[in-house]
Amino acid sequence: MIGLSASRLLFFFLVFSLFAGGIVQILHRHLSLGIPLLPSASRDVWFVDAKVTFEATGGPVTVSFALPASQTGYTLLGETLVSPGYGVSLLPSGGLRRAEWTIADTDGTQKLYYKAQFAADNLIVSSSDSPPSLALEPPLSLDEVDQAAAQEVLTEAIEKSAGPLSLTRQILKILTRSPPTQTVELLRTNFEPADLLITLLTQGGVAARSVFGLELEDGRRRKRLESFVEVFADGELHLFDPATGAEGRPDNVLLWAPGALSILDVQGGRNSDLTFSILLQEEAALKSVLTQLDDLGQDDFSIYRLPLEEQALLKGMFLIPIGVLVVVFIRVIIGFRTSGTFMPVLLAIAFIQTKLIPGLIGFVLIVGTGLIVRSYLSTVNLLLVARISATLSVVIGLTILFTLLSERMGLENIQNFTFFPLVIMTWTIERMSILWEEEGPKEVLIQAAGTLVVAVIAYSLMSTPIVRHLSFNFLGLQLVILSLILLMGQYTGYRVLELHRFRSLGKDV
Amino acid sequence: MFNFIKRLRKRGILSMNQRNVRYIGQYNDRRLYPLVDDKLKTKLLATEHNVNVPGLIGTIQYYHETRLIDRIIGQRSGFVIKPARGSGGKGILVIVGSKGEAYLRSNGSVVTLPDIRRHLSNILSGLYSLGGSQDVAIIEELIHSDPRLEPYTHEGVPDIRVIVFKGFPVMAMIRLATRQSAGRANLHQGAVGVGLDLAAGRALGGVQFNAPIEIHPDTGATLKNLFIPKWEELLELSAKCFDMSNFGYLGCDFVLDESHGPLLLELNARPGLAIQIANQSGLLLALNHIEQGRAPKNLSPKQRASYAIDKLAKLS
Repeated sequence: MIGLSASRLLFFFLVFSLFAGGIVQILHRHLSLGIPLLPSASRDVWFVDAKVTFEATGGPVTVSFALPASQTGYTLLGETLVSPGYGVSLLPSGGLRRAEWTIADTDGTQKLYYKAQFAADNLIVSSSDSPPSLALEPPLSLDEVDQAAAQEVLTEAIEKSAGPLSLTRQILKILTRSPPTQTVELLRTNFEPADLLITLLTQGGVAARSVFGLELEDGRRRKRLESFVEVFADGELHLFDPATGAEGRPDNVLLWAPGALSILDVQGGRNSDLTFSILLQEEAALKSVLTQLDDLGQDDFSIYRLPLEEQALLKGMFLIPIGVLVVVFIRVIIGFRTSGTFMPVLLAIAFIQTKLIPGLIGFVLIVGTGLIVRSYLSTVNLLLVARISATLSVVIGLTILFTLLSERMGLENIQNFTFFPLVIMTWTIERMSILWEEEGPKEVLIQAAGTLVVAVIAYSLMSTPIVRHLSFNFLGLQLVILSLILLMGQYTGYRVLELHRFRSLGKDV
Repeated sequence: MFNFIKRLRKRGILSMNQRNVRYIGQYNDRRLYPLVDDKLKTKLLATEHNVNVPGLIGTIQYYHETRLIDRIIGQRSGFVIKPARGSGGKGILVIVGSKGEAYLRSNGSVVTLPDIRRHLSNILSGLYSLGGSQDVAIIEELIHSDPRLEPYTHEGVPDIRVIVFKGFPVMAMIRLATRQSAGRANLHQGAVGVGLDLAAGRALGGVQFNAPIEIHPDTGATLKNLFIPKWEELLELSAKCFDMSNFGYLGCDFVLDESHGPLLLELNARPGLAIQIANQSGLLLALNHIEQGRAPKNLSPKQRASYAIDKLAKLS
């Protein structure tokens, strides 16, 4: 064999250093900080960041924010308020807690954070969630026309019901009926579903109030609170979703300060907004986070100290090298052809948002339809830029169309079509259609299948809990991946598919 | 499995990864790629270095020049129009004769002068070029394929591919169009590849779709009997291609013209590996021989061609 030259030695030294450095970092975090290598069976901890933004108008500002409490299924572990320059006080008011931020004089865009950690467990199983101080004033004052419509709904519901709960169910049944009657249509276009339901219930003599809930989903950013309605009956509170009519609290919904009259009050500012970022961690990892937060300076490089919104973004980013590794392996070692080098990774990222099956269907639908449209475009002899732009417009149109269609058909998860990388899909269509003209449909099928196979493998890896756990908690893994990619870049042996290609040459003679 | 890989190695079969990293990456300078991606540049360069190419009748660069096509063609009844940066044989119009005002294409259909002008403006707009960028149309003389190769092709002119490494021809094959490949000479589209003995230009045996084949599927000609006339001249031309282009690892495509002999069609900086299947032999045998410095240095193209005939031919 050829001897190793100095530059090659240096290269292998670099690869080895990256690999060893990564392993050392992983071991260090595991052994001295105690972060487990496997996602353990311990309870999950939800990190919830609430972000309050508003425009200060100049002058004193007071922001009052209702805080959540432990409740069935979720135990509050800890909370912090982050607000540079503001005075902070926690006000327990009648069992309801509120945070109050104050500042004497400020203007411009303001950002305030409230961070809380909830353990998902069943330590608290009771409905002592909050005292039932229920609204007796209806939240809406209806004009004559609306009042007549409301009365009509109420009369119909009362006729069929026997008690507060069945009245609620009947009202919801009428309000969510499809297709809606003209009366319901009128009410639904004029009022928010929660306000409407409470008004109807109050008029029907049932004590009800509106509460807000946060749907917990790992890695979500810019999430908002959703409205629910609580009805008091038989000494207990019953939760209803006024938009769908569903009864009972969904397991993944965290109630946010039930009983509070308002969630957010801003004095001295306008355009206030409240959004949430959510991240899931295991408790063991959390422990180290907490020790790290206590022990400042020990690990200045910690990503746990970033706002959750950034953490969620990073969690997604750290998965990309995993997908890239799959692409390199399959192209260099196996020899599959894919259309576009990183198309499969981008697809895998999109699949994480859309879920696999709806994602696959969506991709095939959009690219398939795109190809048909593109084949027409190639008969009218357009210049390249114009052709690509036209295809892009068509892809965007198709995305909107399929999103609306799936909504119409009642498929909820498919709405996330918008996560597809539109520009990349356009180029894929362009390349595939050129391929179709030059090499025939067989080659298009081979490459499309190759792309999808790689995307599905990358997706399966990227959505595995252990991979998500490792990539987020052990940055050393990124170094290990980089070293593996560099190493594979030097692989000059036969690809697996080449063994098939050269089969006639390797026969025994 | 491991024996299989071992045999591939022993026979010196070059793999795609190795070709990319060790040969194209190491011996082909990226800055030189425009020379081979543009057929007009290749043609002018070849003319400068006395490498024979199909005669250039004219070029058309601007739309308004398409009106002058009849003056460029003159009284000729046979000519070829091709895009300078076309890929995969797209956009090539072969005119073999005239019929009054109209012209006759190689596939038998009839085109008029306005048809030709439209084709020219399609070429200029980049319809056939790689990446769709603006292009130039080349008008060149019609190749009259050597009649000795006529029985081996279905439409199209057979094209001879020679791999040249550091100026030495190391392997060669001829690609024969078939009905299945629609007159094109691309092996993965169903053209027949026939390995050529480096020493004399005689056929070694053919393959179609990676499987051995003895007779041409359309014409029924026995492939074994195929040989390339003026073989030494062709090899010398291919060796010259290295001096003119400076690509260390190069694929040269030739056609054999009845009266002008071997003519260079185009150069390829990323020649494929199928040639190994057509030859039933690996490229690495010769590549290693040359890389390890066993071939003499500072030879003229003619001497390198003779070295290939005398020494390299015996390696496989």
